[in-house]
This record gives sequence, C-alpha cells and structure tokens, in this order.
Amino acid sequence: MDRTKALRRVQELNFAMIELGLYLNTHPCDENALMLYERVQLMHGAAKAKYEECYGPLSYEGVIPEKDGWSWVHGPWPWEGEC
Amino acid sequence: MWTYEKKLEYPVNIKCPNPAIAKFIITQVGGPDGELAASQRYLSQRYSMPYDEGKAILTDIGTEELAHLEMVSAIIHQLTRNMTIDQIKAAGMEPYFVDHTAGVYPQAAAGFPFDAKVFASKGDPITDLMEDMAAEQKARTTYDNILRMVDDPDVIDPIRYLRQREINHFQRFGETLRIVQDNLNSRNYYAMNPAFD
Repeated sequence: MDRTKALRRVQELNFAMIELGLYLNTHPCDENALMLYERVQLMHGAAKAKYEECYGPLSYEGVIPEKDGWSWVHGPWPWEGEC
Repeated sequence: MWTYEKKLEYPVNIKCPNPAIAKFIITQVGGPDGELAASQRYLSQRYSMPYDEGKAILTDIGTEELAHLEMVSAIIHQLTRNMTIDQIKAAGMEPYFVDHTAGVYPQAAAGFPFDAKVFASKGDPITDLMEDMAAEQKARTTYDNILRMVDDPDVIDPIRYLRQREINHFQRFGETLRIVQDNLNSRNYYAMNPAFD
C-alpha cells in the first residue's frame, strides 16, 4: 500500500510535467507555466528518488548496484497490475 | 511507460544527400526485418514471458529497437534532405517522392508499407525467442547487404554499429532461451508452452 501511494505520487507529478510540457511547447514564453514546471520538476525528482530508494528502480538510472545488485529484473512488472 | 531522450543512441551525421541508397536503407525502417517490426515484436511478446530475466530482456531490447528506428529514420532524413529534382530522377526515387516528398514513411525496399504480418507474438516464450533469434540474424543479413551497396563512410559507420547490435541481441536472446529452458518443469520433456500449460 505504501508502495502504491509512493508510486501514485511519482505518477501524478510526472503527469503534471507531461501536461505542462505539452502546453509549454505551444506557449514557450508563458512565465506562470514555466514557474509551475520548475516547481513540479523539483518535486518529481524528489518523489522519484524516494520511491527508487525504497522500492527499486523505475529506469536504469535508478538502479543502486551497491545496495540492491541488478534489481532491474525484479518484478512485479507494470503490466501485471500489482504496481 | 516511455520517455523521450533528445539524443540518438549513436551519432548520424551524413553530409551528402543520396536518394539512391535511401531507397533501400528505408527497409530497415519499415521492412520485414526492420527496426519498427523488431520493436513491436519484442514489446508485444513480453506480456507472455513468465520469467523476470526474459521480461527485462524483451522490454529493454524492444526499447533499444525504438532507438534504432530513430537512427535509421535519421539516416533516411539526412540522405534525402536538400536533394534536387534531378537527383530524385537520377535515383529513380520518383514513386516515393510523389507519395511522401522527403518525409520518412515506414516501408520496405520493395515499396510495400509496414505490416505487422512480418512478426509473430505466439504467447509461447520458447517459440517467440526462436523467432527473435532468427529476426536478429535476418536484420544482420540485411545490414550486411546494405553495406555491400554503400561507399559513403558517413553512412557505413552508423550502419556498422546497428549491424553489431543485431549480433549482441542475438547473443542475449540465446541466453534468455537457455534461462527459459532451465526453468521448465522437469516432466515437460517436449518443451510445451511454459506460459500457458
């Protein structure tokens, strides 16, 4: 359950980045949107690092070999409906 | 999910337009042994792979094939940008030009558009991995054939890189097949589908 909550946080912040990014592609000079993007970007980075520290990598970048070895292969995988 | 990285996996910098070779290199975009087919083959097959190492290999090689699709598309783009009408005519590229101008469209060297019929997703990891190993060999043969036709070092260099990746992927799929077979139930003498039976 904690894992699901931590992942939702990353998903929400990542979605905010995606949506703001699309908007900024067509409105690159919108100062308010830029400031919001910057805030979300920082929060997303922190949420992702926290998730990966506790529950394993979301990408190759998030593997911590010293602590977990090649944890990339560990399930559950996203399409299995458990995370 | 996927995110885009604003770089190629390996650089492509072609100085001279050459529609004559773009006409057949495009087969590695949308042809029967091309990178689009490769990516969709592995990314479709991974859902019925029962073992974690196999799920990782199909996901990661499928993802790398998307990067290769981008590289071959970049090669086509750079070979066809700034080409003149005379160059198009001399290369016999009129049919493609009329349909797509200098756009990149996934089709085979022979002109037929991309078709999912060129790959399988059988729901049986042994069957699928056998196909995957053959697919890597077929793509390697295609790159060999392309290298026989091309003399521009700017094109040869990234094509050689892509050719070598086919060899590495073949090796990894071979190891994955071994892992799947090692995981078979000892009474499964005839290697029946371990994803279903």
